[in-house]
This record gives sequence, structure tokens and C-alpha cells, in this order.
Amino acid sequence: MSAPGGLEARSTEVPRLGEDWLAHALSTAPADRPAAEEAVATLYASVGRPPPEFVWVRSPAEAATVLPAGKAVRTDDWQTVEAQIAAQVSDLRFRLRRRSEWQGAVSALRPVVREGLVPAINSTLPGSLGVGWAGQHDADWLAETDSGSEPALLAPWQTLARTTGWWWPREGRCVMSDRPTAVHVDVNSLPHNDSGPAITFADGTRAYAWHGRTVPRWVIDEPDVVRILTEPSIEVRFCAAERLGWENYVEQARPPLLGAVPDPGNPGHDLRLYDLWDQINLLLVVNGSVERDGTRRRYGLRTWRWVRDPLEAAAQTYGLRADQYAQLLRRT
Amino acid sequence: MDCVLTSTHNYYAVPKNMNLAELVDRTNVDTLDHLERQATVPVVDGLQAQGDLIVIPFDLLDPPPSTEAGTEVPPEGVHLVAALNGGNPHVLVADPGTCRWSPDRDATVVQNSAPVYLLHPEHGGTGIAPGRWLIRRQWSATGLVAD
Repeated sequence: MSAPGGLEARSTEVPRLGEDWLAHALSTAPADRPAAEEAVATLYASVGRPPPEFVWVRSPAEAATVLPAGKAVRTDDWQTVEAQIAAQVSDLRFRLRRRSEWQGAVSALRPVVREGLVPAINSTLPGSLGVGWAGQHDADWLAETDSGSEPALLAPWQTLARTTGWWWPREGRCVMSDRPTAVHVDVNSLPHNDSGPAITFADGTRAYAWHGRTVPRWVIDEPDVVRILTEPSIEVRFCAAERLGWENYVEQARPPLLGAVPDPGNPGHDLRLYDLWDQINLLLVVNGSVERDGTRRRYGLRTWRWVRDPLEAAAQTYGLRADQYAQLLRRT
Repeated sequence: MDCVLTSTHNYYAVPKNMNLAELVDRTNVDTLDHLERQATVPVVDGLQAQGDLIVIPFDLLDPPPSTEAGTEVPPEGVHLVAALNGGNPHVLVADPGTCRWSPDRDATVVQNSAPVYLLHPEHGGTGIAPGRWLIRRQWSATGLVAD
């Protein structure tokens, strides 16, 4: 269906349909400083401020060194530039998001950005830097937002997502961070690197992640059983054991084996159920297909702790009973 | 695993002895290059798993799903698991007119009159004999499993 020329011409003002917000979120390109500064100046103008002085830094961690320190967030001060921009964007998101929800739009970017990249970068900061926004990492809510009849209000936010990293507006001065210089992801685009930092900035700031989950450096660089067993976070423990390899972990830590049975449909391989940690059982399963090096990967699934039989544990992961799962003919 | 697999039903007008290379050709999904491309993909008439998916015959379920498989599988296949941001999908591939599917809550109902195939970039291919099937995802205690 072709639109009349006039409509076509006007549509260039509207954000392109199907814009690749994931690519913006993962971008490691140098910031487009003029475009980003212009967008920030537009937002300052919208709350009655002149354009600020811009201070560019290489990373959010470096921003922590130039932002006013030690000032607690005051919830009673609504007159600051950052509070007024916050009120404005909050209102904008509320109005434009509701429409999207009616259309059933859910952002697949949320696990990548809000639960992946943002916590990883936060892990490089000494604490909260106060009110600020995430530039390219605001892509998740922008992808969910329908600019509808108010494209002009949304435009600066979209420009910031396309052009820069994180930024913090203050009176007369805005601190702007460059994007990372390297971002590593897994097959699902979640931040992940099994041999180094998942995110690196130009000043050397590094963040580590395992399949989307922020982890301390040791999990990637020097995972070992003692650290795993003394780590308080179960999530971090699980990532570290996966990094170490379940085979290695089980061999060294020797968790109690609750049972082992032949895996139906996967000849020559066992289903092994371990009492892993307090109230957590682990089912070790061998992949049905071979890896590139000819071996088969053993992967671990957390199973319900009241199930003590490996066949029943495996069956339950597929919503079946043990006698049903026992009829499995083939696993690939 | 030899005795439990049925041979390809060659009285249907389908390519006999599909191999992985042919499956890859039919879809826009490629598999890892170390998987054997020329080996015939076995067709399984019964319960089988491909990574985080399981294919359950209707007669194993009590009661069987009431959903009718309504939509014909198109030539390029159906992505049964909408992989997050283009990750690893499981693709259902069928010859024209031989297979219908419908979502059934968070699972998929499939009815096929000829062998159809599931293709996955890392797990390769597997065949499903004619019948009615419920294809369900795997859960662990922490949520959906994705491979």
C-alpha cells in the first residue's frame, strides 16, 4: 500500500518503525557529541533552563569523580533541573506507555538492558550518582513507547539513545559519559563473556557478566570451589559453578548424590540428582547432541527440592510424570 | 536407539530420508557446522526431546489438549520458541499441506499427516512421525530453560 506523498514526507519526522533499539543498546561507537548535547539542551529548555556546560567523561565510573559528591538525594526539592526533567519524562512515559500496553507490546530488550547491561554498569559505580539517565540504555522503554501524537517530546530521548551513554543533568552543568568501547553478549544478546569483562570503557572500567547476570570478576577470571561455597548470593554461586563447569564442580565439592539413573532416550548417559546447597537440588543432564570437540556438554538445572528421584526431577521439568518421561525415545 | 525409530513413511509425497543440509536449506536457520550435514534425520514415533523442548504424543496425555491445530505450517517453517533477540530458535518444518499447528496456552499443538521436522542451530534436526502432538517447553525451579 503506498501512501500519498504528503504523508510519506511527514513520516520522516516520526521514528522509523522497527528501529533497531537493540543495536543502539549494544553500540560501542564513540558518542555523537553535537547531537547528544543538542538533545540535552532541548530538555533543559523544556524546563526553562539555558543550555548547560557539558563535561564529557569516558565512563559512568569516571562520572562519579566529577559529580558533586556526598549530597543525599532530597525528596523535597522539586525545583532542580534533574527533578523537573524526571517529572516530565515520567509523565511522558506514563501517557505513551499505556497505549503500547493496550497493543500488547512487551519489550524483549528488558532482560538485555534493564536486567543485564544496567546492573552490570551499576556494579562499577561507588554508589548512586543521583538522578541521571542512561542514553543508549534507555532503549528498552523507548522500544515499548509509542510516540503517537507527541513525537516532539519523545525526540530528544530517542536521540540520546541513538547517540550517547549515560548522562546526569545538574544546574548549569551536564555530565555526559561515552559509550563502552567493548560489549560482549551471548546468543540471546545478554551481556556475557567467559574469558574477560563483558563491558569495557575507554578509561579501563570493566564489568563482568554471565548470561545476563552481573557477577564479580573472580567468577569469570578465577572461579574456584572455595569461593563458590563461601559466596552468599546463590545466583552468583550458580554462575560461578557453571563457569567452572558442573563436572569440575561436582568432582571437587562432592555434593551428596541423591540418585543416578540412565537417561531414557539418551543412551549411555545418566541423569544425576545432587543435594547441591541448602534447599537447592541440581539435576545434571548430558546434552543429546555433541559439541564441536566431540564431547557432550553436561548442563545443570535447579529442581524442586522435594523431588528426590532423578527421573521424576527430569520429568517434572517437562511437566510429566516419571512413568511418562521413562518412555522418552530420543533426545537431541 | 535403532530399534525405537520408525523409518520415513515413504508412501507420503515427501522427500525421503531428509538430512540436515536439506532442512537447513528450507529455513533461514543454520546449524553449527560440526553437526553431520549428510546423515539422515531419524523420524521418531513417540516421546522425544530436543534441548529445552519436549514432543508429547496425545495418547500419553490425560486428558489430551482440546485445542485443534488450526494454522498450516508455512514453507519457511514456524519458530516454536520465539528466541530472545534472535537467539536459538526451534523451527518446525513441514511439507505444504501436511502439518497444522496452534498455540495451546504456553505450549503448541501439532497435527501432521506426514513426517515433519524440528531444527535447532545447536541440537540439529529430528523428525516427528505423523500424529497429534503437544510440544512443551522445559522449566527448572528458577523458570523457563533456554538453550
